[in-house]
Amino acid sequence: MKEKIKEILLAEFIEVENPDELTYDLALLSSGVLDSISILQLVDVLEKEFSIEFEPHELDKDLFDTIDKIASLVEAKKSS
Amino acid sequence: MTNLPQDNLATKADNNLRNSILNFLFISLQLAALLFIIVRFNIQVDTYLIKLVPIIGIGFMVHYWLPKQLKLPFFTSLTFVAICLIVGISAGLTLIGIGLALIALCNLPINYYLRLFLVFLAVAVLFLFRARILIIHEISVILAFIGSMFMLRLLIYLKHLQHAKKNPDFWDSIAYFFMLPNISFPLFPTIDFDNFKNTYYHKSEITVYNNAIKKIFRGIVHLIVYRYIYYNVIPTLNDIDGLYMILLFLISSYSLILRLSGMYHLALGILGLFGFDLPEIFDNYFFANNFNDLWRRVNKYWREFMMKIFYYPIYFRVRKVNKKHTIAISIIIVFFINWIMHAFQWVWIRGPYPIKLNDLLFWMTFGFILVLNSKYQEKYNKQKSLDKAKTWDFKKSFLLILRTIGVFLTMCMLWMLWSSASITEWIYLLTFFLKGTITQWLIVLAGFVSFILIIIPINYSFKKGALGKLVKVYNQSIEKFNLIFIALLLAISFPSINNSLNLEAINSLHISRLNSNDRESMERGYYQTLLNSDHISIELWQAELDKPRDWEIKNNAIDDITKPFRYKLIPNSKVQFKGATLTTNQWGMRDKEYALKKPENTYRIALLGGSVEMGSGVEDGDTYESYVEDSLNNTYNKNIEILNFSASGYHVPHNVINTREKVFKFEPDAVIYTAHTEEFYRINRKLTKLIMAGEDLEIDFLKEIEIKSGAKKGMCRLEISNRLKPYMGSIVKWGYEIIANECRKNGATPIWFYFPALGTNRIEDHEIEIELLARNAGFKIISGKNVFDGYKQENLKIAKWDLHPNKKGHQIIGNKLLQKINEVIVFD
Repeated sequence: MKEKIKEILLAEFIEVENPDELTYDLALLSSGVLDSISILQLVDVLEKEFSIEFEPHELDKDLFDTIDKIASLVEAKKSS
Repeated sequence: MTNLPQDNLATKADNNLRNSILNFLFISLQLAALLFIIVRFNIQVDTYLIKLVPIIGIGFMVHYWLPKQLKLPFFTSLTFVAICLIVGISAGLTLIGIGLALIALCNLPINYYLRLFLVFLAVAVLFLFRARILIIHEISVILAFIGSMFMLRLLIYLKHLQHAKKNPDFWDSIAYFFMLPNISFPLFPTIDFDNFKNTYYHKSEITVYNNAIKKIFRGIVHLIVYRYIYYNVIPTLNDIDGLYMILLFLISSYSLILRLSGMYHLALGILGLFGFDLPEIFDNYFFANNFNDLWRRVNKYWREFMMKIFYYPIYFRVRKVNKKHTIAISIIIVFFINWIMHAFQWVWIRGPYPIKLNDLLFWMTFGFILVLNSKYQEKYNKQKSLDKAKTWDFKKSFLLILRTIGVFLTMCMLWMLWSSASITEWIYLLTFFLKGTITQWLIVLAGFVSFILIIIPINYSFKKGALGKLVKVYNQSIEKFNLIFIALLLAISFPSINNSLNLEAINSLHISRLNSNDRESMERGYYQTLLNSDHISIELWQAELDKPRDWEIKNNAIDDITKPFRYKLIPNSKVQFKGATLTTNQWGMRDKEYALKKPENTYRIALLGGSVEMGSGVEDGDTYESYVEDSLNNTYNKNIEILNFSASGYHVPHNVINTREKVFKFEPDAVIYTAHTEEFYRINRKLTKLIMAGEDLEIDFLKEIEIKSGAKKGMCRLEISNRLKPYMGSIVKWGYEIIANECRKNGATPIWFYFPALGTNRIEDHEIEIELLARNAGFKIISGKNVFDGYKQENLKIAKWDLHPNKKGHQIIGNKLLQKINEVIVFD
């Protein structure tokens, strides 16, 4: 899951010479790597990819800031 | 051997204690220095910060040693004590009670939406107080605090409760609403509840305290720099006469956002002293290189608040209806709400909010620019680079700088729109760009290119060279560097040190006062300007905050109010005006009774003047006119009468009419005409107001000037004022000549008495010019140019929001007149 999310981020949202720099615990929202528009675009992509639906409050730093957190959230949604 | 672990434990405990003591001393020392600097520089003096200084200092020292479970209750208790100290015990307890009740409503063990409804109901009741439909004194005086502490935070808190699995901790909730620095910062950062909780001692104590010290230090520096710009750089609107001045105004006005960032850093720093290590609120917003970047960097808390409460929910709803333009539609809706939320915040803190088109236009334009920026980003610049800090090339750097300047200048333009009195005024200000000559534009262009050429190597050095390394070294040892900077700041807070280093200019930054623009607003009673922004006029707003609603004169004290130059005080009336009793005699003078016919053996003087001479804000008998009259009667063996023909708002034209129609019926032996600083400006202000309102100027001479100047109703205040400006000398000359001629015709001595108005900057050229006009008209001159020298002017005005002299001020003016009057009048 984490690998897939990282793949999506690298393909569409983040440009980096060395993919290892995009670590699972890198803060995407609070550090400004993703801006408010990219987050919403990412939401759309993730929803399509994993056939899930996000709620507005889930785009919070606590739940959506890192690949780790996004993966947990997606997994929780898929299993529910 | 068996005792070794215990010994180790004891040693470790000793070390911990020693470290704690050292850390405590290190932080306390810096805090003491910073609090001292706050007092010396009078920072936030009008919002009680200085009163809070001992509470913050002592509070930190006690809080530091408390066990963790007692820290939050202590912080909240400290806030309660501070509230009672600032607003009084009765009002303070009311505020605390209302606050606790609101928090309790939010946490009732009932359905969320029912709770929401109850909170809404409670807020609606409080709004009835805000709208003055309900009035209870204890509640009325604390509404601004309730507004600032609760109204936005309730939205955040309720949003949190909507999705929280359990109710938040009791002390977290109380501390979230009752934040100590909020008492002294009505405009307070919109702190998120999750951030508030999650950053509480989330790092080691010393790191949290060091961060707090850094924020306080940065806040103080921002506020001092702001003060410098506010006093010395930003030109008055009336001084804008061409390209250079409008550019200076444009850039310096936007720089005043430093005030906001200074206040916010200071507030967050104070919170940090009690464990709340909240994230940075501003992120080098002057360096934003596109508008999304700016929206991300400037007031991040507000942005997060808008995103969380409005943007995301709106986006999720809109995308169900319109997939193609979801982001654009959401941004536009959110920016409209942004405008409403600013108004909402102001209504709670300040009261009525005048809905102004330029305010709405500011937010909608900003929103529209963001939409365009987002569309561009969506299409061309989707991927963010993680490597951007590592690479540098000339072209990229050049474009980055160009974009940054572009964003900065666009924001300056928008900021000017936001802070203008009206859209007409903003458009009028923009016309000054067209007044630049080709040479001036070439000079500006050359300056612009030179600036970029200077910045490019700096940008390189920052990314790849020495500057970058220097910044790294600074960041690594920031605590040590801060010590040096704090010491420097401490040094310049002593006037004696500044004097010995020839840095006297810094001493002027120790005082909190209004700048020329805000003073003009205050003088012309144009308080609306302060409500359309929370930047330039915050100083003025603070001065207004404490002003009683019935401060201004009641219309029932004035007769013929519709006649701009013939209105007068109603005879035999007694009213409350600016906090003092104002009584008039049978002739409508703010004076004791006099017979129309001059009594035998009497020397009679007529005093012509405005609000200062009338004695605005001082009790009957405390005017300098009464003081001089009593002193002269005690000195000379003759009855001396000074008849006060002055009234609030009188200038040259009023006094001309008074002289022609009223004064000589009382047979005066001398007529004293009083003039003050900015004699031209005061007449200009009055005429501008009349022309704006489309009123008849009554006097033929003034009507001719109205036609010649081209000023007419429908133009903005600034344009009318600028058009009238060249004619002010002729109006004063005309008025002085009429008054002096009337005196000569009636056998009276014309005397011109000048002294500066309090809180104004004396302009020597202007003083010389009006004195020459008076001399040429035939007046005898009494100059009180230096009357207030050696006095602290703050102590001589009737209130912090009103520049009229108090009783002591009147005595000082009276003494000056007494000292000089013998040079122009022989009483014996």
